[in-house]
Order: sequence, then structure tokens, then C-alpha cells
Amino acid sequence: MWNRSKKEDDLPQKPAPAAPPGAEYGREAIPMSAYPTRPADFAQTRSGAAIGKSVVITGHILGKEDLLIDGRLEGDVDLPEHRLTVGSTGHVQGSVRAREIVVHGTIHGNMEASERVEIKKNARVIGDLKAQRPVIEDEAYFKGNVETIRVDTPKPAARPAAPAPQADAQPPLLPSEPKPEIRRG
Amino acid sequence: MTSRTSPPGPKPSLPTPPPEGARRSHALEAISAHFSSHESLHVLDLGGINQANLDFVTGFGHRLYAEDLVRSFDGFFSPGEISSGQFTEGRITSFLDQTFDFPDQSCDAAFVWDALQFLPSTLAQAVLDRLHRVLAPDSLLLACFHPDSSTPDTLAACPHSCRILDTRHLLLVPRPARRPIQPFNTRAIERFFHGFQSVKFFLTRENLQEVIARR
Repeated sequence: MWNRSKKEDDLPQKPAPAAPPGAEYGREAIPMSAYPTRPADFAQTRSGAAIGKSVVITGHILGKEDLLIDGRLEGDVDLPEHRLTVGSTGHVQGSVRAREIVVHGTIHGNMEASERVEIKKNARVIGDLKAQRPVIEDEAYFKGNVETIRVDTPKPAARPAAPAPQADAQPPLLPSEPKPEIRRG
Repeated sequence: MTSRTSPPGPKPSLPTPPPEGARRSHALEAISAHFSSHESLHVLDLGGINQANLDFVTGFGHRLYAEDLVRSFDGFFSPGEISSGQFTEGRITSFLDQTFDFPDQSCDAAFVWDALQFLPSTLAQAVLDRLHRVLAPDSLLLACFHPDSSTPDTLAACPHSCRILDTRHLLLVPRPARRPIQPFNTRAIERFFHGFQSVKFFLTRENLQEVIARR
């Protein structure tokens, strides 16, 4: 254990094979890893692609992972199911569509997010904004139209209609129900 | 713009006391009533966007156009133009075209707040004339004017970030930099809004003149 090589440390941790049902009762000890495990939200916190400070791109970007722009982009961005972050040195000249958009830098163009747009302090945005939840911090500069996307919560399905009573059927009288009594005198 | 019978309204009543520093605004009440009774308005906020105003306007289901008029002025004109106060007609027109890029009579309400007072008088009048052009008939404009005082100390002041807390209350937060302010008295304000159908004044405790002008 103490003489384990460095290479062994670098190997990716394989998940333990799933034990058959009931097998755990036959074991004396459950093997456990002493190494730190990946956080549960690893996939969410992990950054996707990135465009560095010195990179200039002209063209349309279409992606299926999160994107961080710290450089300059002249063209549209389309990340329908992911997050776009424009860093403080980032500059986008074009329209942007993503699930979430976070702006620390500059965008000249329209933005549309199916969920959230955050325009951070000192960010500069000129263009129209359409999102479910627009959040604009103080000292951010924004010029344009803001429109919120309203999400209607689905209504519960209507109960199936009770079968219509047959015309000739007599409504059953409950045993405890008192019969109407008419007294004449 | 269409009328509606039962307005949703973001915060129609105020069950809890307003936060510290909030002040009652009768002009805001008037414009809120206009928001409640109409649908799908196009509202301009020229005091620089803030989350409170964004939530308030979009809470009614209206569309908000945001612009920081004072900051836009600083960015468009050169320091030389600003210090000399000389603005050519062509430059003013191109500033207005850039700032108010809307068809005539396409907007239904405008929050101007105190921005007009922090523009040179020729430009302030040009901005107001352009607003008159882009606002639809019967739409409302809310502006406010700091008290007129002829002492030199008060010829500079801080523009305010005006945050709408609910249908009745505003929070005025001074912005960092002081800048020259144009004095306006009641008579000057009346002359200023001469093109509008009607002008209502509300004097606040702080001597701030709130104005609701109907196009």
C-alpha cells in the first residue's frame, strides 16, 4: 500500500461493479475507497469549452456543451440546452441563444435564454433580451427591450366525466335518508 | 395597447410597511393604474435599468425598453462638446436616432425620472420632443425635478436611480457622480411640457416635483 506507484494514483477510478442482490450479506467487509470522490454535481460545475482571451473568432458557434467566451467573437452563438458565459474580457458581436446566459463582459446583439439571463455588474449589453428570468445587477449597462417568457404551469388533467345516468334509471335511495313526509290536515 | 378588465399587477397592495428610505409617489400610483388597466404596453425606462423596475413592469406583462439617458449622453458626446455646451443639430439628431430607435407613437409609457435635468437644456428639450413623437396618444410620462435653487452649490447634484418598490412606493438611490443640473421651477416645467395634452404636478416632502404628462 505504501509503495504504490505514482502511476497507480493517476489511474481513473472505475466504479465498483454492481453487486447482485443479496450479495452484501455474504461479505465480511465492504471495500471502500479512501480517495476523495467526485462531487455529485461534477457534471454541472465542470466547465465546457472555452475561448481564451487572445482568441478572435468570426462565425457561427453551435454547441452541445457549456461555453465560456473570454475572447472576441463576431457571429452568433447557439447553445440551446447549455450555458453561455461571457467573461469580463469577452466580447460578442452577434445574437446569442442558450439555456442560460451569464454576462460579465460585452454583448452587442440580441439574447434569448429559455431559462435565465444574468447581466453582472460592469457588464455591457446592447440588444434585446428575452428570458424566463432576467437578472440585471446594479451598475450593469443595458440598452434594449426586455421581455420575459411566461411559463404556464401545466394544469392537472381533468377528471374523466362520470357516466351519464340513464334516463329510465331511478336514483337509489340511501337507507339513512329520511323519506319526505307530507302531512295534510 | 388594449384595456383589460382584471389586472394581474405585481404588487397591488402593500400588506407590510415599505422599507426604510422608501417614499410614497402619487405619480407612480397614477402610472401604475394605467399599467393595471391596459395590456401589452411598451414601456420606456430612461433612468438606467434596475431589477426592481424590470420586475415591476414585466410583472404586469408589459415590455420594457431600458436605456440610461445620462450615461448614453456621456458616451455619445465628446468631452469638448460637453464642456463647451455646443451641440450641432446634426449631432443632436444622431444622438436621438441612436437612443430612440422606435417608430412614431409606438410607446405607451415612459419613466424619465430625473434624467432630463442632467442634460444641457437644448438637448433636454430635443429629447422631450422626440419622446412626444414616439409616445402614443394618451400615454403617460413620469418625470421628476429636483427643487430649484439659485445658490451655486446646488447647480451640481447626483442623478438618482429610482427603484419602484410597489405601486405606491419609490426608493431613490443617489448615483455616484455629481454633475451639472439644470434648474427648473414650476413655470419652466409647464413650458417644457407644452406639447403634451395635460401635466399634473405632485410636490413631495423633499420638495421634489413629480410630473405626470399625458401625451
